[in-house]
Amino acid sequence: MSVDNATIGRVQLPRPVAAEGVPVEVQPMAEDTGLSVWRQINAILNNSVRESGLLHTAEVSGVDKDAHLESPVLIAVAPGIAVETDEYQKRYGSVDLEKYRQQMPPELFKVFVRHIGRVPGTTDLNLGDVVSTPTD
Amino acid sequence: MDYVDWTPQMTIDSPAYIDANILVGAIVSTHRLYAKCVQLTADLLLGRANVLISPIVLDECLWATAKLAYCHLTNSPPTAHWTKRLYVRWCERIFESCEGWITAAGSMIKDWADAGVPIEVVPKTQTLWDNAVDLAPSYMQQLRLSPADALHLAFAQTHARTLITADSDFEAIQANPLPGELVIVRLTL
Repeated sequence: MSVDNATIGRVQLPRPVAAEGVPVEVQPMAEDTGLSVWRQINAILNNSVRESGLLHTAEVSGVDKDAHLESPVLIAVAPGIAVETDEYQKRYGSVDLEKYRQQMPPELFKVFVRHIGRVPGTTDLNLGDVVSTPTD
Repeated sequence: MDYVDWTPQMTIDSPAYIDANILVGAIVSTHRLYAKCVQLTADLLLGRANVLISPIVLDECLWATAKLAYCHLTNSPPTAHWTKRLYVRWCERIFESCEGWITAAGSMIKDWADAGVPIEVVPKTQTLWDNAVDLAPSYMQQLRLSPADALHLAFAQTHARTLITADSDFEAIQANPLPGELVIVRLTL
């Protein structure tokens, strides 16, 4: 085949099934396969599932810092909301979550914890430096 | 008008107009006022106060998160120079990498409303808008406020009993008392 005459045709992919109808089940790796590529794929899948909100976690009666899932270590904050340990410390470490969980209706508590601290900041951040209209 | 520092469990009279810095302070972690912003926000939600915001509040939240995204992408400090030209230049990358940051404040407000928190956008009526339009320039002149801050204060004065802010510029009210029943609650370190 001459390179000059080569053409690129549309690759025929199987048609996707409607996403709503696809049962998705994600489980932690049963054992470490020893292959870094599989660990990376597992981490990517776990992150995607967590960010999509598909991750289902058990209702917790309190802020149980030991309620770990596996690989990576996740902490359940509210039904459907789980974060890694480092993120938990930054977002919720200084917040009395247990008090608010008891005081707020479940739906309000869920949206409260979903949003607080979701943008990573820095200790040197002064709100006045960012909450302003920029110059031209 | 009265001006007080916020303390935990303080009674906040409703309706309460929230400045953008409180919302940004609650969605951005780690900074020095984070814990207090979260606590104040929780108190507000638990107190079932009528929460008021304005388009200016959302505008400032959007600029703030866009700047934070820019600082993140360029590894710059929060004090970095930030202009509309820089925004235009970095806009595509900001939305590619940090779109969730830009939408954070808006989606938080919508989720609060969906969860039953009474939230309203002001101005509510043409008359109240007219009143705010009349007040803002006088606040700019008397308190040396920026146009945006003067509008925050005018919206609060015409619609709310409390203005909640972390902005020290409103301290000028202490030296220049203004008429009205509005209480300005300032969150400080």
